[in-house]
Amino acid sequence: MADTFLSWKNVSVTFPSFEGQAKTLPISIPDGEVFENEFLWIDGPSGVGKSTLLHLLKGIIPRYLFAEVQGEFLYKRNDILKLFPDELDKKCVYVFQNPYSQIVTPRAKEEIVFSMENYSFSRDKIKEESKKWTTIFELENLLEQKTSTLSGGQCQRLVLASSLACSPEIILFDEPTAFLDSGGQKDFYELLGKLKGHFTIIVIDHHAPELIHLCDKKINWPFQKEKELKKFSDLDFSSSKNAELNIHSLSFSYAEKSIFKDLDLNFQGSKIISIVGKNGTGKSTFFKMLTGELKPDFGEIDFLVDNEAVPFKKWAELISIVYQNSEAQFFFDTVYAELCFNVQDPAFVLELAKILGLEDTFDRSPYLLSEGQKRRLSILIAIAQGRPLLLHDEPTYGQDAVNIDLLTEMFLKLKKAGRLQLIITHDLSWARKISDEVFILEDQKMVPL
Amino acid sequence: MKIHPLVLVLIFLINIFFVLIKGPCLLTALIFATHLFVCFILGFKVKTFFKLIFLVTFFSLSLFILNYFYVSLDMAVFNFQRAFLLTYISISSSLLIDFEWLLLFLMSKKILSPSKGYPIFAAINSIEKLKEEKRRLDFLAKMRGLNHFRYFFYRLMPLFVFSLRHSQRVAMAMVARGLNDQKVFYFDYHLKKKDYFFGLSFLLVYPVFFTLYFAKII
Repeated sequence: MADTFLSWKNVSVTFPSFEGQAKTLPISIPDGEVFENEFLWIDGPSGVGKSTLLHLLKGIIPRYLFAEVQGEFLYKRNDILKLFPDELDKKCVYVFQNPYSQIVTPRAKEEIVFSMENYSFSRDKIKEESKKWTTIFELENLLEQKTSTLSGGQCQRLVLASSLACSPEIILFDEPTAFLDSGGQKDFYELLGKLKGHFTIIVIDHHAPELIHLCDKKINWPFQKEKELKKFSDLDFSSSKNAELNIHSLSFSYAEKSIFKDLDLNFQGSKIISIVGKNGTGKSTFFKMLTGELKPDFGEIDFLVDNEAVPFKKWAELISIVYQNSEAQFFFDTVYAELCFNVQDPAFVLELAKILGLEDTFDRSPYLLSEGQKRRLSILIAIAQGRPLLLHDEPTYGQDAVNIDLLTEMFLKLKKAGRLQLIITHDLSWARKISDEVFILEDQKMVPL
Repeated sequence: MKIHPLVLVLIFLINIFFVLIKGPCLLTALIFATHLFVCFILGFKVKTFFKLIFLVTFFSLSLFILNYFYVSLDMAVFNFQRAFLLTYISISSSLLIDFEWLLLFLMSKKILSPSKGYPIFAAINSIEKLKEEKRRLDFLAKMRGLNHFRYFFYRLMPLFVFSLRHSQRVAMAMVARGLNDQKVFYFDYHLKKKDYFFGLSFLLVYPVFFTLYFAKII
């Protein structure tokens, strides 16, 4: 029988507080082992420490993020917690959850070759690999673009291509498809199928049916404690004013690249409208125009509340938005303060937070939550404002199946209470399930599906 | 037209040096005219030019007023011209030099180590990110009723947190992606023939200016 390649047993991680004293509850990691070229899928509720496991594997903890680690973590029988081997550092690539935080270079073409240059690949090899992965991830048209102008999905594709190009032996993926459109997700898992058997692959992902057939092994992360699932039915969502958005002949372009052309749309009443589309088609740009962050080149957007036109200066008082980057929503030092600031009914908001599994986090900094928890908190902050128009950019990103169901139920409740909700998502099946209308953004037009 | 930043840095440094030591005179006027010519052949837009002229004039005027009231008219005029030339050349140079290209060139030539160069990159890139984040935070602050003056620090803190977390993440990404000082460079950041030609043409033009000036012909 083959030797175990990677194995971990009785591992627990405790993060220190600012005072240097262990304050957080230790994160217990379920025991596991991986053989060479095996495919491991890790699934579990958000916020339990799945990313922490990958941080340990890459040596980020405890080398760069200080934490108290106990237990045994072996790579080819060597304890990596005592001395992290250089060999593992070179052979292991880690694709983080948030693609924006991994981009290092100014242009896409330099990003593709960044890792290969670091590992001193020959020029011919770099040329060959970059061409191969650029084609696979359809990045040919993006190569000359500045990385700061790329969308979330484009960044994700770029980082994936760059990581895979440097021929690693172990690849760690933390929700690799979170920002990819449905086509991109399918292609990515097809690609993983082809890579299977050639690399040791460890993937963290929620609700990915493709992985059932792909993986050799699965770790189901248990809930930390059994919780009684609460329901929204006990709560009374206060009714809201009637919002209406009229968009006339809207056109917009970025550096001579046309994003929208003559968009004419009308959204009104208590509805959920979903917008889907490929990465980089301008979904987030559309929201930026609704919030006034960007100005259209031509055309107009009229925002009406109870049939009365709202002057542009007042829009911010009647719209709530959840950005793709959850941290952008946070202003205060505790979750409690975030939820209760300037809110008419704090008790109601706190009750919602409890249902969404944030009750243990009230006294913690919002920045120290897991990605999934941050996302739920940012959604709650937006909802707590009680505005008639809600804009959600990828609300299900980083959520497990249980939390997606909870969010779905909450959005439907909000709809019943009269809110108009616009949702950008890559999950078409979820969009169809929740929405009154689904639009696809392609070829500079937004058409109903 | 794209010229290697190293050539531009050298030319612009010579311009600044002569304005600094000679002050406003016919020689610096010629150098300034040459600088303007370079700006336009490198793709300076007319709109940017006028915007810059407005800013520089405004700044120089403030110096003029101070000197006029506290020193003399002659000194005020002298300092106005000097400040105008220096600020225009400095700001336009910083707009025209591609610092990313310059850093990559220095790293590929092993003058600057990648472990220092890439963090500088990340810092340059984060300026654009910070600007975007600031716009977003302003809207969110307005949305949450935090746009009052008394919440100024509440609006500022997320920006600090963002910059700290951004730098931490980028640093982690660099480490995780294997950045080291033995890094090789795939793309060519070296000087090309046209860069040498451009630099050499200045080596010919400037001595003519200096000869004319020191021979007191101009």
